[in-house]
Amino acid sequence: MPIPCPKCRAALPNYFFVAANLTPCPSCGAELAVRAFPALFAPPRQEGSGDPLLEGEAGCFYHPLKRAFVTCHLCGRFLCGLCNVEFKGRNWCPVCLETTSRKRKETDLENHRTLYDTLALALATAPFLVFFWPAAIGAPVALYVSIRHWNSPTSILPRTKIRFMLAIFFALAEIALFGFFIYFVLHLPRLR
Amino acid sequence: MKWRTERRYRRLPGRYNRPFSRHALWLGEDHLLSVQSNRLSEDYRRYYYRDIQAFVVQRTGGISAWVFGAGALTAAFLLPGLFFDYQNAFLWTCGGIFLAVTLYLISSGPVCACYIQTAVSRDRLRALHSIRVAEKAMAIIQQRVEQLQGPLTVEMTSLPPALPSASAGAAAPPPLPTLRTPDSGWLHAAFFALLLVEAALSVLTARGAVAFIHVASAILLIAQIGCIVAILVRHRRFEIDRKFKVLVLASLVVTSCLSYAAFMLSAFDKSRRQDFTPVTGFADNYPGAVPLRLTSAAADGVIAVLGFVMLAGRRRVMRRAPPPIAPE
Repeated sequence: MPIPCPKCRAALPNYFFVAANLTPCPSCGAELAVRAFPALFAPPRQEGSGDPLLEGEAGCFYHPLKRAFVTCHLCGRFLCGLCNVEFKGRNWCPVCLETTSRKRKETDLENHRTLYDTLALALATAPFLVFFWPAAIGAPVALYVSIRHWNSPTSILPRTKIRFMLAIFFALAEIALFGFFIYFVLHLPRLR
Repeated sequence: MKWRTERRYRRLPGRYNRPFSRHALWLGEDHLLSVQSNRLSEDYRRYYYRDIQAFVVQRTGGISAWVFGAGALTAAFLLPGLFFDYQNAFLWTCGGIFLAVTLYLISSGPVCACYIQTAVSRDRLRALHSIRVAEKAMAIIQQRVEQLQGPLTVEMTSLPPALPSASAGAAAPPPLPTLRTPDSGWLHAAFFALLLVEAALSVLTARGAVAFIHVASAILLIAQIGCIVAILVRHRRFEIDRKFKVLVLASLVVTSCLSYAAFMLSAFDKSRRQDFTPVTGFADNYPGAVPLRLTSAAADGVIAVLGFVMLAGRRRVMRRAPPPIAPE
């Protein structure tokens, strides 16, 4: 695939790949710098289309008329060139790959994660700081989220549990504050 | 209890931070991880080093557009702090913060749009928004990519870039700009109508009818803010002429500047009279209030009428134009 100019979409000439500085696009004049890699010039990889099965050869589990040449590293099923998925240096069948992705066993297959620790911290602090009274609901919910999701996976990036701890601290403090407030409201006539 | 999650990624320079979105790049063992976050969840996109074909950096400006906003706010706080003797500590503190932001933005250098290309995709890396940061990050990524792919030679660059073969034809082509649905313009009409109401209100205030001004101004301000937010969202989703965007932005700038002037004149007047009640801007009576209100009314009226004229012209053009052809 040629590299197009992001502004005018005209294909960039090859001298862009060796230019060290920003170079104007010959078509629109936009200043561009391109850092190209050998993959750009490599011929496209030819994926196996699955050879037909000959007599005496093992067939693919999913395509019995195609010749199997590898086995799935998880379930051991025979796979043809169509079914084999190479991922992280191993051969996978589509079903195992899908199951692994669904069960979140392989981090590299995940493309979305909920940040429960940030959510708990937001529930503990935002209602209190912005509206005050909704914190009466926000604090217990933050406490629940913190305890319920203490061991749930959060971000796949390096992260500590400090947000959970802060959320629990703030939630307990707010609950205590509301507790004192209710106590004083109920006992105010007696104290007078 | 595991205190820290497993450290599998190393952070790359560059981060794009907005109140409800954040973009960052992380270096993995065999892939580059692009993280897009809305603060409560994260979306990941992986680019394996063996698949990366190129990075394209497009210089989009000599300076970030935010510099002008931050600079204007710096001036807005520091200049009254210099000349007025009213709430000096607050003005100096705010001015100092915005000055620091302005200097930081200036020091980050020219801004750019950075794209990553693979055989089947071409995506913008929002985390790399300044040329200096982009170069720093790409130097690190280049090492990893070249470990797998090897360095680019002059012989390779003399070849035309590889075209996808017939078997790879099923792969998705790089994304092209899609035709967006044209905006009907009803929200713009509502906004311009609100501007007309505001102009009428300013005239009434200038004539002395201030009994209901507090409530009406507050309601109008909330409605205008809501309208502007909705319009800005629609600008991203629907197709609308650039002149409408400019007009909405102009109205925002005019309203902000006039409000600022009103607040400052009011504050100056109160400090002169040793009156420490809160400043309410347009509702106060200070020297120059009437001309300011009339200017505000005229500016709002002109923008609103111009907006309605443009909307009428656009509707006429849309009625004549044939329906757009969807891209294949």
